[in-house]
Amino acid sequence: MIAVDRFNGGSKTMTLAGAVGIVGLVLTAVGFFTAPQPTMFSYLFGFTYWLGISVAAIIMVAIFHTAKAKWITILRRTMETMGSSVFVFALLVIPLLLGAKYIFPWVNHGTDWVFPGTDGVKFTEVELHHLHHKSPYLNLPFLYVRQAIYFAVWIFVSWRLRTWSMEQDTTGALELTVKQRRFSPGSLPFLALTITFAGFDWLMTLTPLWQSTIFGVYYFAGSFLAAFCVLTIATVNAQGKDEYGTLVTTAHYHNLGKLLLAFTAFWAYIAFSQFLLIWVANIPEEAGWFKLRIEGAWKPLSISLFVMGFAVPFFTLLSRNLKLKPRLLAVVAVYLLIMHAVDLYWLIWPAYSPQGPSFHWTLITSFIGVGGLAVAAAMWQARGRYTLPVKDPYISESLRYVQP
Amino acid sequence: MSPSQSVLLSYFDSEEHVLDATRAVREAGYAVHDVYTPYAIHGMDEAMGLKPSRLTWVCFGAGVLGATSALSLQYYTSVVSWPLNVGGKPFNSFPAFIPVAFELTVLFAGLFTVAAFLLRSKSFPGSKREALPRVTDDRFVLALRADESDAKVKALLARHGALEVEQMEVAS
Amino acid sequence: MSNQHTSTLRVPLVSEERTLGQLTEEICAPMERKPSRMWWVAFALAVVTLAVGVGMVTYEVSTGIGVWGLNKTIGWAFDITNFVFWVGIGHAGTLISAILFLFRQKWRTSINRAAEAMTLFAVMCAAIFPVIHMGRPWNAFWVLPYPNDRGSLWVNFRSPLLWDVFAISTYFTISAVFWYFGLIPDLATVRDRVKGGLKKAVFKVLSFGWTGSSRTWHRYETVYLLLAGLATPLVLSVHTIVSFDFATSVIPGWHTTIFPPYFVAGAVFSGFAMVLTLMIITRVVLGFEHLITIRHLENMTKVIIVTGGIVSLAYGTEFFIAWYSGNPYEKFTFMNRAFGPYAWAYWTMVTCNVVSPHLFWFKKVRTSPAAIFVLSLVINVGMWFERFVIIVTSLHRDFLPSSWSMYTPTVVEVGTFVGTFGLFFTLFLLFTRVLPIISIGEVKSVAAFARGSHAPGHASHPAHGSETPHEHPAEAPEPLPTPALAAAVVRKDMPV
Repeated sequence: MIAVDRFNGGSKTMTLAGAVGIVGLVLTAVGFFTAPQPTMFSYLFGFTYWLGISVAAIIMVAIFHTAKAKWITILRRTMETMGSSVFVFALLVIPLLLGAKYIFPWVNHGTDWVFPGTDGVKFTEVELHHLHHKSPYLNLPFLYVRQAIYFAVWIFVSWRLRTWSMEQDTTGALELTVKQRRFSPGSLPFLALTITFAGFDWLMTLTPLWQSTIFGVYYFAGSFLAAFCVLTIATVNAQGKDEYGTLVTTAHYHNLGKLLLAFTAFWAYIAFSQFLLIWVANIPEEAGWFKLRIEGAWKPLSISLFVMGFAVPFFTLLSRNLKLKPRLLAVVAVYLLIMHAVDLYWLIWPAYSPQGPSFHWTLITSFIGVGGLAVAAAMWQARGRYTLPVKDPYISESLRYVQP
Repeated sequence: MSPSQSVLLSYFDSEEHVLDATRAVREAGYAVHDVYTPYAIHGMDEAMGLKPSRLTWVCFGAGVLGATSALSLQYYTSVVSWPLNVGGKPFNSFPAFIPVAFELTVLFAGLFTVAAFLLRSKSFPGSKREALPRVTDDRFVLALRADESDAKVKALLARHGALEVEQMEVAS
Repeated sequence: MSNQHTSTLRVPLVSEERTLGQLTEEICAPMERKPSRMWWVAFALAVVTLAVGVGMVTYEVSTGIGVWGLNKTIGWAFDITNFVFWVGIGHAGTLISAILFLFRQKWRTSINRAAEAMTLFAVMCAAIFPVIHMGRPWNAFWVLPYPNDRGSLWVNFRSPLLWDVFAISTYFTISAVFWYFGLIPDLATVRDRVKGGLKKAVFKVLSFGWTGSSRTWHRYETVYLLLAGLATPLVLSVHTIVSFDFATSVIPGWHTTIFPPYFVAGAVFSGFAMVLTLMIITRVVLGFEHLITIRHLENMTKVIIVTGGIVSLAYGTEFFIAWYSGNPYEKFTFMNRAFGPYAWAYWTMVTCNVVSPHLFWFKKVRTSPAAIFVLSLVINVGMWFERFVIIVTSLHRDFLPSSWSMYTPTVVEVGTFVGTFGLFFTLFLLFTRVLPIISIGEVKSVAAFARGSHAPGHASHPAHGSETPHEHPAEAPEPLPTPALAAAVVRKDMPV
């Protein structure tokens, strides 16, 4: 007999994560006063990494509602909790906006920007002219407005779906399921637009004279994969009292494994499409972004990203036996999370260090700082609630899910 | 295995019954020759104690073969046999070789797997084998390596909803 | 597959109760009775249209491609538009048969066979265009890399057009194999129904000696899953490679990195519209309303909303980046699309693809076959215009203004395009006569939902699965963890 009650554990994890987060952020702040530019790039790295996972979790919930997926019901609360931590990022984005001039060359039409790693190289006249053309989009006030819109959408969607879902824990009203399923499809266009433009804003405009229409999808693909990894790891570790992990069957893990495989391939597909099109067309205004990464000092990292980020996990996940073993699957998920970090580093860092990969200690502090706070926020949200939607009309079906 | 053997056939009219019966006779220690059904029954592989098919390995191997053949062909034609400067691209344009490599991976994997399936299950155009009556329509048949004279198995089958029982010679 | 625990809230997949025997009877009926008058009328029309196409192609091949409206500036127009259009339509078939299979969407079972056949016929129609565009189609084999006495002079593996050759031929081969593989058990069913004669002999050969052995079924299911797993990335790759035809170039309006996923979404979008068009006709003509239910149609309209949304998002992103890039050529191309001489085509595309799918948000529209039928045609038109807009508007304003030109299709081009519809419908109509157009085996396996205890109306309590003796107790935690977990009540009034 398994008894599931409201979850009240995890206080240790929460405190620890919160402490790590605060220490990390304090150290990052120290880093900022000693070396502002690399610290801001590091902070952007930590921020986009964790935020992407949180937003991807919101999108996941909306997608599964839209698709009326039933097997996933048991895992849904965890996704909702991951998404609920998005409010923390509404605060964490502020330092990013305040320090925008250290990372975004387009601030002030590019006139103040000095290329890092050079002795005083600035934009040329022609380049400034191009930046001026983009200034209706690339200006700080509009950036602030956009961030406000993104976070409003994310917080609202996450809050709305999660509140209904938790209300059902007590009332068991079927109407709430109907509401969630009606609301989700309508929210998807907004989620798609915001994640696309968030990807443009935070990552693509680091190189303001370069553009790629697929870039938003690329950021989304990586984040979505990472969110599945976090979901897998959380599920494998949720074996304590009142936690849902004990109710999860191998069939669920099998599906999670398949999703990891599918999204590893999807990420690689998007990455390859972007690369191949720019590489073959070889237009000067576009090729520079890849030239920096596939020639010279960044080349080894680019190749290893292809091999270690796609080939290795893809062939590993093809194995059926692996997908049926939760512990092994969690190991692969951790590996993929590391690869996602390498991917973001590969996207961000060449803008700061075009001469080659380099390390700055704030990369670590901001990563664990933002991550610690996000995890603590999620744990805080999880406490006092059921770890699975106990009165969802499909929960018994999900609990008994077998591979069809 | 001998080319033909005598089996005890029992007819059922539903998926549930034939599954129950299969589980029951296996528990009772009888060897299941085969179960003939109009559609794939979920859980029948477990009931019969079948091992997962090894055709996945054929598929994987054929895929690897396809990828390597495609890459070698492209490398040989573009770099070794007749290197030609097209649009300033390098002779060994590896990124541009990936699409064809992918297509041939899928082509090889698909064709080899189906071929292996046909070989393994001895299916081919012109095969003389015939299905038992109504099996491709609405009958489920459990074929046991047992003898008609065994009253115990007949009772067991009847208890699980067998409509009819008969002895027959089948190709193994 | 009926022994899975199912919620009482589920809607049955087959809407009327049928025994297994009745299902066999019904699905085989269209191919066993004499064709109806309507079938003959449709077939005659299709053959006549096909004849027009054959005539046009014969004239074109014997005269030269000068009979088309192409010129020095616009070297690609109608032919490639039609090629992309038909390939795109084919994609829905694979999506339904492979991707929905991997997602275990059981509602696919009554439409997958016809959709797969549609894929094959659509790809045949598509392949005609590049081949006749070669001008000397009898030399078509030159696109293959084979040792020859010219040196050996090899094909150019860096060209996306060659990737297309591999993609389309692989796609056709694997789709055909997948389709035939799915047919084998049903061919055996037909074989066992036929009393004798030539038909029996033919089906005997075609069914490969299928006996319904569970040992074979077990392997069969593995291979089916593998084929579905292969077909899924394959279908994505095909339209990706088709998009590469354009996107690897440096032509404004063609070279943009979103093309691969955007083309795939567009293909699924148009393909589902075509499946709907065909299915709505088929279910009425053959009387399959209870097998291809309103629910099937509704699910497909939902796929249309999603893919239509992705396509709209791509249009928007492209427009934004065209401005954002500050590239004057890009900007010009997009302004020219919206306000230039082909603005009518552009706005037709926007109306059909961006605006019209949103009517499907209304349940009334989603459940009315007549409305769906009209909208599916509208979307097909819209997606044809999408390819036309991309191809022609990008080409007709060259970098060099002295080369600016306009394109008007000639009668031969229109006739050829119309002819491909003739081919498509001729093949499809023949298919409905000679093969079971619904997968008998798969429908039987889901028909359990309509039988006895599985239908919502019959269920007395939610955990009925535990009653059936063969349910594995190990697969489900029993008894249910807390009273809260078992709280799902039977409600038939909820549209969940």
